[in-house]
Amino acid sequence: MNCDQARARMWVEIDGELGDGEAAALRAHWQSCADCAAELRARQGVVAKLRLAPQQAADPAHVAAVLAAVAGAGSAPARRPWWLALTHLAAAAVGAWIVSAALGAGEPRGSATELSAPVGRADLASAQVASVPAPEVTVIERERLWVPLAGSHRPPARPLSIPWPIPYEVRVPVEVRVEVPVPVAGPVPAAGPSAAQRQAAAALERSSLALAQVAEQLAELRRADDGSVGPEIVAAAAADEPDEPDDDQRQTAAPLAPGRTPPVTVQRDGRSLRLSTHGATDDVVPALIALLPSAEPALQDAVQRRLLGVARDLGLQPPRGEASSADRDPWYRSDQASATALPGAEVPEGPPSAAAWREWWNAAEPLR
Amino acid sequence: LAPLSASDDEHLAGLAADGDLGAFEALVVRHGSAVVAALERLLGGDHHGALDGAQEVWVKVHRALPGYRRGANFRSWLFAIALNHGRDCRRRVVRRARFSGDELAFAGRLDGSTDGRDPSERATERGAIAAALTAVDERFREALVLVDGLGFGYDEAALALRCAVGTVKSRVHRGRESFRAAYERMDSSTESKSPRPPAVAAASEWPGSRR
Repeated sequence: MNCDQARARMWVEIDGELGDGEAAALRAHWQSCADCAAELRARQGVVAKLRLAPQQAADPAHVAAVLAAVAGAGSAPARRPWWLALTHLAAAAVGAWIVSAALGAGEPRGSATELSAPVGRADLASAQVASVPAPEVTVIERERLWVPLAGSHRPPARPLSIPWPIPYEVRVPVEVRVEVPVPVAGPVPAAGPSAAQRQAAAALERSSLALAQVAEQLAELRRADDGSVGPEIVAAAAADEPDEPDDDQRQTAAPLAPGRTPPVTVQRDGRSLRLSTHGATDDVVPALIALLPSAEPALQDAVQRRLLGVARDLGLQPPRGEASSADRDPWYRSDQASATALPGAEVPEGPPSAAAWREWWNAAEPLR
Repeated sequence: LAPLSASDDEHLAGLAADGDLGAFEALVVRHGSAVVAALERLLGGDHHGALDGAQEVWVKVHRALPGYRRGANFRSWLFAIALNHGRDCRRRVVRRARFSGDELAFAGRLDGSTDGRDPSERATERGAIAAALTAVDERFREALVLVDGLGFGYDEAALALRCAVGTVKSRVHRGRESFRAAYERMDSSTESKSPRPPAVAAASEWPGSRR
């Protein structure tokens, strides 16, 4: 082994990783070479210089400082930026809106919230409000409900007394039953989309009148009771002045003459529903048809049954219903059964729609 | 102090990862002085900077403990964090020196020359070693601190440095040469203006050197 070879292996020997044979050759070389022996000592000195003192236990003051730093802001989970709170607020607002919408959808018809729904040509201005004690009816003040996705937001009649945009609801321990008389004005005209929109708008405006009546009723109840209804509800509802309806709307949806019994009356008592008609068939049938689009399923069934009964009494063929897609099996019936089905087999039909009934009634006029 | 064993470290780290602050304190007591010493070497002998840096290292360790893989070598894991932090601290110091116009003094310090360095600090052997280490390439210096300074095995150091064992060996050997050259140069510059020894020239021409 020459000097270059010996120096090339010197670090490995200092690390103690040289094989036995090479280590012996290296030792033999530096015993004979003074320069390499000096180089080895110098290198061992370098390693000794670099070696840190044996590590003792850490200084208690340093340990205390570390633990204080860890227990302080250092160990706390990273703080969320402030703007994340906005996303939470937005999510909470959307959640509140969804919950209020779901509550509104699940409410029993006939409560005060029902009045804001379009009810076709029903004359809500002459709605009769009766109140009977009953448990758990929810009254939501729709005017204050902020609906973010709806384009037509009506500003409230008076400044909000609650923080925007949180809607609120008040639960009143009484049930408000609204009986909606449906006016009759001959055959139902085939209205265009704009006319239908005007009708709906007029019905909504007139609904505020009925809402005011409900509010008065509630105020009376509150005076009689222990005052569980907040005064601001009544005040807000009463202050909601109805706009003047257009003249043409007044004609098509004129209030009934006082003392005249409405042709169709819907009475609800809890879950039961009673549909009573009064007057001539020409009055009753358009009123029934007018009730169809906005009615709840139970009322729709009752109205359909009544209309079918009328058709049977008149000896007329009722309109064909729409094939109910829910009953179809898209795989079996469309692909295989359509080829193999018997000619007489009919796809089950749903009940006729209000438009079908309207067409049927207008077409049947000359026959009557 | 009870004799340290690696399995104790891993057990304590597992407990600390579960939120046991006592186990974490035990780890700080066991390894606190080693972290400070290593940072002091990495930061050119700045003891107070090393104490502050070690505190930040432990805070980082405490934050990272939930991600500690149970049974993994704790010392390697700890010093991987410490070396990272040492690099950050060093960059911060360089940036501050540049902004404050003290770049020349800092460059002299990095070269291991006496300019810009407190003579009283150089008077001690510890300060001289730290000063000479500043002249060594950062990668070599880290390997030296782990292997020669703290007595890490090459396997353990390779885990902490996240490189192959052969790479660590190479860095250690080259770092020793570089350190020796810097140390001898500092000695010769303080005693007399002797010509540079050949080893210095060789060490400064390492292809892997960043300067």
